Amino acid sequence: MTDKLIKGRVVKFGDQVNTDVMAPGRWHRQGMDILRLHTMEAIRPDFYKQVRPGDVLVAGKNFGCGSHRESATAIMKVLGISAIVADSIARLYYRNCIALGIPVFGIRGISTIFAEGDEIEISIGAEGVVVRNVADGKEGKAPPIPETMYQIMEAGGVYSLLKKRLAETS
Amino acid sequence: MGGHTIAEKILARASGKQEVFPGETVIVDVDAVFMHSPDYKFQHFEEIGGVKSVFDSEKVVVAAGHHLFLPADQKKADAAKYVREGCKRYGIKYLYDMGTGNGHYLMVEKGHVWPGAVAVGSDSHTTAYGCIGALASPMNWETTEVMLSGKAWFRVPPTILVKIDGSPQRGVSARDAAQHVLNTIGADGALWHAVEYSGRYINGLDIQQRMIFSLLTTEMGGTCGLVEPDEVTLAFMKGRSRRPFQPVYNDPDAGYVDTLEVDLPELEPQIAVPPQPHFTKPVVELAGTEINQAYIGGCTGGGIEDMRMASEILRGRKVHPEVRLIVVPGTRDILGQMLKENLVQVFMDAGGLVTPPYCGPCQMHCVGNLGEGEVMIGTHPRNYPGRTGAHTPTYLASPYTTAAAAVVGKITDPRQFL
Repeated sequence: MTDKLIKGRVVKFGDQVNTDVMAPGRWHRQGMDILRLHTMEAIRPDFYKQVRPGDVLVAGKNFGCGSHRESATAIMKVLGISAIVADSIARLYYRNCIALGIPVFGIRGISTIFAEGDEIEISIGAEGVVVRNVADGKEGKAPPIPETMYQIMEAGGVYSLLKKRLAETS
Repeated sequence: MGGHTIAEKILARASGKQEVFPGETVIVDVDAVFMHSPDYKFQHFEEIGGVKSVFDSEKVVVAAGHHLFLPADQKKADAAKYVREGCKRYGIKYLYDMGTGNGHYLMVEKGHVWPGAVAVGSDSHTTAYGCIGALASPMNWETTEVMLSGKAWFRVPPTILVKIDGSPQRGVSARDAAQHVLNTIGADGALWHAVEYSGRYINGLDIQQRMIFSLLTTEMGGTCGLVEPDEVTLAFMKGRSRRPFQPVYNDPDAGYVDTLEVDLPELEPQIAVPPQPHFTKPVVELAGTEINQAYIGGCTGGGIEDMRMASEILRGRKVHPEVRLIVVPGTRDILGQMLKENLVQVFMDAGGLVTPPYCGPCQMHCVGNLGEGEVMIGTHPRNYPGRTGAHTPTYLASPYTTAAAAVVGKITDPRQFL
């Protein structure tokens, strides 16, 4: 595993942000161009205007709970979210992020050291993951990402890997 | 060394190991893959290129009729056509098309899962099939890969045991008990855990009512929800299972991380209030809240017992003039049984609308959309904001409570009608 550093600006959310909020039933199958205008609108209208490519999403407990919908993860890529860090990540959302190649970290209490707009730094290495608030140096740690998952993330998701694997076997 | 839980034993069997322990990551052979809207998956196949067929034509099940009983616009009609063509192209044998029903009920009713099976599905409520003692868990992006490889990774879950004994008060149903458990464990209280439901009350329920518990486990963050197979399970599976199977039972000294005991006789009718399925209150606290639409159906309310409970309230009564009542049977078989028992007539006489079987209006895929600001009460599993509209408060309750609200036009304690 090669060391990797992700830097970005924090966009902050609270607890239990669910996938119906990220990808509302009415819009989630209308295409990403339309969905991006509505993502998070039930709790944060005009989110798409506030977010910038490279931003890191920091949230509270159980981020991504609710429906499985893949658009709720895909939209984060469309908006340019470079990583997701939360106090805890819902199981299915976590799996989807890995499968899609979005770096995702659940670290208990991590949301308390960040405010909207803070600069965040995530270093990923063989010893583990360190998430740091650049301004005051406060940090949280997570165990290393298992190698198989790291490979999927680095390949840009499970489909890129599948493509490679099918090309090799055919 | 302590014994193992059902979840551990199923994952050991499916990963070809003697035993597995909570926290371990295993790769297992999957017995069933469920999907309702595989158009995305087929697009992924095309993007990947070179895909000829799914891993096993018997084991991938598509319920294209889950979200729609008939397409309401051109886009959905084209997507449905694409799904039908894709099933043929990729060798998928079981396609449940429009009007057949809600995919979760169908998976169980049509024997695509059995006690001890491992099932995955690209729907978060795939935990449903735990009602017969299968280990069923949702996945999503990865299902594309599972459809091709037949393998999936699992983190072996520690198990939380929920024991429910005693008789409920009249007007209190399985949904009320399950809602109480969901509230107690919380939205992330079972994150990466299995939850097993046991006790004489659970053993006294039919398979569809047990499914309410296994299915709602996903709303606690759980990997799967399970009921240990018993006589009811085995009688239900007779002649239904598509494979011969060996039921998997708990070891007598199975280790649980936590135990929750529910005192059922004390339980009052419960209701989930917006904006989350686990925010639960006694119905009496919400009494008087006006509603615009009442919905009996969905994957936690489309069973035959749910229909019987709702009809107990609605027989000989009328739906409030300012309320729309929508009744959605879970499957065609359930609708058939409703016709035999004259329940469809009861709902029609009351002024309700009975639709063909499908997943229902809980996220506005087919019919029953709410206007902005309108309020719905339903027996379905989920009420997050955005699901039925940005500002459409949704309450979740038992068939009794939902039917009572339809009659009064307001949230009401159903016990007064029983």
